Amino acid sequence: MIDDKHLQLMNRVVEGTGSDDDRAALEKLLAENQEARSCYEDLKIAMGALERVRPAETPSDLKGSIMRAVRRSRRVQTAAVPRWTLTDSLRRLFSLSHGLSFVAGAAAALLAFSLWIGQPTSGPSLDPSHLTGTIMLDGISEGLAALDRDTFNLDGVVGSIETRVTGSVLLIDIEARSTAPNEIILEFEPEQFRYAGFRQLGHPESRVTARDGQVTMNLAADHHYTLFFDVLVDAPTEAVSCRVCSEGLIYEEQLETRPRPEHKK
Amino acid sequence: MVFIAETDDSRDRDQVAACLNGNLNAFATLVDRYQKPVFNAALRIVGNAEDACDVSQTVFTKAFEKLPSYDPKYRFFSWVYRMTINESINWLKNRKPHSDIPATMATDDPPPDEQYRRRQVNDMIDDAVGKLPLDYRLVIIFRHFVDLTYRELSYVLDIPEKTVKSRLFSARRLLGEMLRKQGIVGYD
Repeated sequence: MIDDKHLQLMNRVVEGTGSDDDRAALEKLLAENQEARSCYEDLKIAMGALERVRPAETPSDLKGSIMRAVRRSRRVQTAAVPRWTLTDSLRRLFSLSHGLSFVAGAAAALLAFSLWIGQPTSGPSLDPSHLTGTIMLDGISEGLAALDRDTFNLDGVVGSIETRVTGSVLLIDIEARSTAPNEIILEFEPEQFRYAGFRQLGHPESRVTARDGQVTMNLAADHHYTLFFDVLVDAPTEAVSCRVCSEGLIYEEQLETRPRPEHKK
Repeated sequence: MVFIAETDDSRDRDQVAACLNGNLNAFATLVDRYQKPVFNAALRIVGNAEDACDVSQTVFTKAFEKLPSYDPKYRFFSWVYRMTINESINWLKNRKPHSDIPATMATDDPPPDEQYRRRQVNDMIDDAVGKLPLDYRLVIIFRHFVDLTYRELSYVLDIPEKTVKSRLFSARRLLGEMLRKQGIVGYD
């Protein structure tokens, strides 16, 4: 018969946390109890086997596939969150029905004003087929390998983003056309990349700011940039993400920053 | 066997806070830190690498979605392991016929004799763990392959610490018995 006390004792000894007294008590138990002896033998076999098992290596792209799924989920979540607008807020406020009829006239006037300012700004029609994305660079264009290209066309912002590499320099071309101011944020792993500067075509009112792990472009409207990054490690992971915002997040993607197999030829 | 050499709770908490502030790179760091134990736990519950990848992906996606409801009084990894168990069990319920190919066996190269013998023994051990009843398998996986303490096991498995100890005892005993019957008694 093995009781709970024996069970605890054997657990402690096989896990190596038992005291000298525990070991002595176990020896006594094993000498007297055949069932305990057989049980302890099985425990030792199991412990020896489990110590021998090595962890399986994770597939090389597991992190990449997880992060892609997370970004998809984030995009869906963002899209599901209603944006704050003055008109919505006013509607909510007045739906409270305070019953104060004397403010109705003022409210109507205010509501009309807010609806008026909520109208989309008229601007040029946007045609994604006009995007070129790539800025051709004198001198080094020949050695450039294209890695990735994606386009977006949402909420009045059309654009393209493209990654290219030459030696240990990563280039990210960003082109966007918009009827309203927008912001593009690149986040990267500072251990893998160092922001080195940019070259710009287009709108002179745009502004680029950089800090650890992040480059932000505040854009008046249309713009076209090439950003340069020094690649600090041999095989950078997919570690640069791009977000485009205009009154909220409208696009987000992880950028390919190393050659795909078909580019290795 | 220790997967996480040093678990720094405050570091996890900082990363979670950064995620909640919209920093996706912080979440990528958490994925980096915990993908291996999550994948290994899923692998040993569902039995093959491809499905373990799917489970791992679902676990981290749900963790990201539920991050705003995460209670920082619990350790982040315990919370994620709990999701791993739930997702793996869900997967088992919806299991389709599948050929089980352990991740460690995914090679066509004929191995040297000694390596082959060791691998055979390892496969038999893996196989025996896989044949344990699910409750037993879970305590073995998270105690021996993920290196959780009794207290952490109690939280992750949602059972009292005393039950953890007795279940672990029974699981090891049964595993030892299975291996003994297969003639596996020594490992050198």
